Amino acid sequence: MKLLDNIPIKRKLMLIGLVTNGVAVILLSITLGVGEWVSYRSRAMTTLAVHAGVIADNAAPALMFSDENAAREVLASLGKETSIVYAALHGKNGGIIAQFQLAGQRRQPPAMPASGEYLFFAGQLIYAKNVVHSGDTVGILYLQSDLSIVFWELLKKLLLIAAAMTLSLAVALFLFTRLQKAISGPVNKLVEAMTHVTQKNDYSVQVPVQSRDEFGLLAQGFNAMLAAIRDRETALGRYQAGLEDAVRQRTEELKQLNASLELRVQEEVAKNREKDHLLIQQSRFAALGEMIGNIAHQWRQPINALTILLANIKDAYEFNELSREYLDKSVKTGQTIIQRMSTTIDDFRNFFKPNKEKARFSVNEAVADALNILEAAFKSNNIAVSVEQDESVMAYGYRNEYSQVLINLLSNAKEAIQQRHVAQGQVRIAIANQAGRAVVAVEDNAGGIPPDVLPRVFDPYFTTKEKGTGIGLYMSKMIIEHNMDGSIKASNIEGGCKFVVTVVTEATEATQDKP
Amino acid sequence: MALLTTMTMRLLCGALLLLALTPAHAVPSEYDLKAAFIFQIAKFVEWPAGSAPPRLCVLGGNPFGAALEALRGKPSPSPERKMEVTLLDMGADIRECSMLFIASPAERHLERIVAISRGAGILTIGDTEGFAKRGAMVNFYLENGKVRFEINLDVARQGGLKISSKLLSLARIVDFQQDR
Repeated sequence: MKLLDNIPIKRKLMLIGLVTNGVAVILLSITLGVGEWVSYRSRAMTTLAVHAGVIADNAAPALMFSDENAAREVLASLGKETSIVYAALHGKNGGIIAQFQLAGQRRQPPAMPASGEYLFFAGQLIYAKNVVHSGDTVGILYLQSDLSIVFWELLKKLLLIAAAMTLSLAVALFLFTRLQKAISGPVNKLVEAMTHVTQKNDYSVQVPVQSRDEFGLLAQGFNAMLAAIRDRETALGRYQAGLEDAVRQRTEELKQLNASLELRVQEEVAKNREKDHLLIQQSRFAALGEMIGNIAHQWRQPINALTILLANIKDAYEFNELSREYLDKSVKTGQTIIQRMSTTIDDFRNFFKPNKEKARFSVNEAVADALNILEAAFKSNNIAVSVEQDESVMAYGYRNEYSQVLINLLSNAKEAIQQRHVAQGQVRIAIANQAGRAVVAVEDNAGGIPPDVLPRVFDPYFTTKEKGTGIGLYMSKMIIEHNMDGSIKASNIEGGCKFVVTVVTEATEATQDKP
Repeated sequence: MALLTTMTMRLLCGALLLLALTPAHAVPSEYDLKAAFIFQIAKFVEWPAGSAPPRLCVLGGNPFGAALEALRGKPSPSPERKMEVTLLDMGADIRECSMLFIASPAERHLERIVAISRGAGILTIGDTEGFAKRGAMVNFYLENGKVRFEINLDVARQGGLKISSKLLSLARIVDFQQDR
């Protein structure tokens, strides 16, 4: 079938017609030929048998009476039969009684057939028949006919048939060439239209619908398809134009949006900076408040002492007991008290002054400093402070900030104990060196942090205190985690809460020179 | 020997068998043939209805010899009817015969026999020259050394016998010539 693939449909149809008709004609010719041959053969056999019957019948008396002349006469009656080339009558004892031969046409077979049998030999048919009279076999008759005549007749007939078939084939092909236009015509039209469409991208062509068969349907379908493509094309064009517009517009919008976004980001950054600034400010204020509170606590006792000292001087004067000696002693005492108060302020000022550079420092000392500042406040609230500590735990970072974080945690504990009116307030501090890290844990017995609050305690502006700012723990987290690469964690323990501050003990690459 | 195919073998065997059946002579003699012919002729003759089994009577001696005996009991003209053979003396009643062979020694009785047999449905046969003309229905003669026969059709017809045209076609037909 590959052979048929690449030739035009017109030729294809021609070839199909030729091959199918040709094969049919050949098969028919073969069938007819074989049929004719078989029928000719059987007719020849029958004819010979009929002749043999007549001759045998006629020849019977001649054989019975050994009359050769009569036998010869009987055989001579075959002279009119052109196909019979030889006839012989043999007597009962096998001797030839009479024979009849047409010169030069007989072929001698190697053996004669038995009675009632045929023998085909070299295009000749030999038939033997016993000559029987009244049930007695009186001799045998051999008849030999030449089938070449039959052959020629058959050939003539077959040639005639072949000629007729060739003629009919020619007529069929002629008709076929005319009729195949009904198929190849519409197909070619379709192909033309299709070529036009594909080469010129012109979808406006229409294939004429000439018939209502499959080709008509095909043409209709093709036209419908073209129409659909046309519609699609216009719609697509429209969409494309719209799309371009939309894209342009969107690009413009995006550009604007981008610009405004940049502006917004700048604004937001500024806002953030402002907020941070505010936050720092607030934290400073908070620290300042803290400091003032603590100073107030520290100063309460010396102020009382000064008040008493001044009252004593006045009393001494009233009762004339103000001697030079007494005054000198009192002034000296007052100056000592004032000196101590001044020292306190210096201490606080030093403490709240932020460090410029990171350095190694003693955690034990930092804790002691923080406790020193809060000592008075803890005492006045009757809070017991205990410290468990390893010897000389060192940390690396900003010492004052670190102390400020500790003060925050300790102040929170103190305030919580105050707020919840815990009778025997306790704050436990544990300082330890764990796996190369300085760990300080601050525990209290103020009842702990409610579970819903716990995850948010480090959020900025989040507070549960009446006058809280929500900055302390946020700033603490910022200091420990951002500035010192440590961690600060809050958790509840039995009876209270626990804050754990972990920082590095030595300078590492990550912690070095980070502002 | 290669050419000696089955067919020729079969023919040869048939011929040998025939020769074996003819005891004394290798080649059939004149009277062997005549006896055989008589037997064959019976097949072409139709006797009047109600005839007895074919009986061949021989008058005037037996010129056939053993061949005559060979005819006895042979089915003729049809398988049911067996041929009877009788040698008659001079003056015997010939009316019991259906065929009567008149040997030449009985020539002098011919006219009488013809007269008797004419009404009795007897096929008269002879092998003497002129017998047919004198009233014998079938008469053998020799032609080129071959046995032929002549038939006096008129006499046969008068005797109530029908002779097949096939037989007639082989025979020389002679007329009845009372006066020679």
